[in-house]
Amino acid sequence: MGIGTPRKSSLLFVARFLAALLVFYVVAALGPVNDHVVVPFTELVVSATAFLLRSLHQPIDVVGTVIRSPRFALDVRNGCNGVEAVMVLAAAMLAFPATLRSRLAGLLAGSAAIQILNLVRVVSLVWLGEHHREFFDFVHVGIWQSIVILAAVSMFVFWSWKFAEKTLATRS
Amino acid sequence: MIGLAVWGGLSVPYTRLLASLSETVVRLDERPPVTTIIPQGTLMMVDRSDFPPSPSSVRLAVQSTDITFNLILLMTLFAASSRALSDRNVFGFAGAAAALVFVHVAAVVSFVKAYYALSFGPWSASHYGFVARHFWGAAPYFYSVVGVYGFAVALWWLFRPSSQSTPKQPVHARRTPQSAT
Repeated sequence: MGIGTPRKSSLLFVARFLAALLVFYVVAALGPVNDHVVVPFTELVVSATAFLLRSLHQPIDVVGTVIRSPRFALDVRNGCNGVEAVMVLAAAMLAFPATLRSRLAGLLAGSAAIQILNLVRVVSLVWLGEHHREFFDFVHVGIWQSIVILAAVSMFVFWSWKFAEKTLATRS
Repeated sequence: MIGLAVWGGLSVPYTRLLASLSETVVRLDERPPVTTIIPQGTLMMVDRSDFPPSPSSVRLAVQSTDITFNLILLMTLFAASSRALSDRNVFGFAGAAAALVFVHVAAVVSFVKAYYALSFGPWSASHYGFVARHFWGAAPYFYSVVGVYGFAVALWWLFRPSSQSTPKQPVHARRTPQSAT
């Protein structure tokens, strides 16, 4: 990526990024991967959300990927489990020139941060659905989805400036 | 918040534009052209004139805001630049936003094609082969789950001012030994 014009480098990055995103999506969409990895992970997100809400004295029931409160139920699906943001982050880190170690460290730290943020998102959406249903759709689509992806992009940009380039330069 | 306001304010007129452009694209491979995409608020109702009239409950309704909300992400990414109002950043955003319209049209077309390829039993099977059914079946889901974000990020990366666009230190690091010799 460091070779050639900036425009060519940008195009190469974008091509790699979109290709990686496509591969990640295909892998995640495969039946066995979805059933044995994605769905159990989503159930884990739901359980963690329920634990947090119960600790805030909210009466919560959990059935699979569905969180139920007395007046509201939320089915956490793909797109709400934080996996898509991790995919965006991983694709960007894979497309950017860096060492494997730097990529792994960035991905681990970034994924953990994204999942923490996503927990806040799901908890806040359940609370919003329970107490202010009229704002739920707007906040769900208009605000939280953008915030989680923006967080992933911000982490990538920070990583690329502070770690990836430094690591490569040191190695060179 | 500005991005949110612009997106919310322009949703209905943009849905009309999107419906019109998408209808034109879908009709490109139809002889005679039979698809109609009618905007209703932020919904796009899809119908075919060669099919018997159906109640609206069984017609495809594409929610435009589910497709277009990545405009907020794109605006925020450009707004986060240290020189957000510089000419290069503003023109870059304009170029990326224009390119995003094509992405949105492609997304609507993929929803319509998936509807045609998967929802009409024998008719779908006779008009869409194995590969086409799987391609059109997967395309809208890819867009909904990761593409909606991925395309916005890709366009931001491509159109943001070039001084920020590529890693610099690896280039210098590799060139230094050569320039020293």
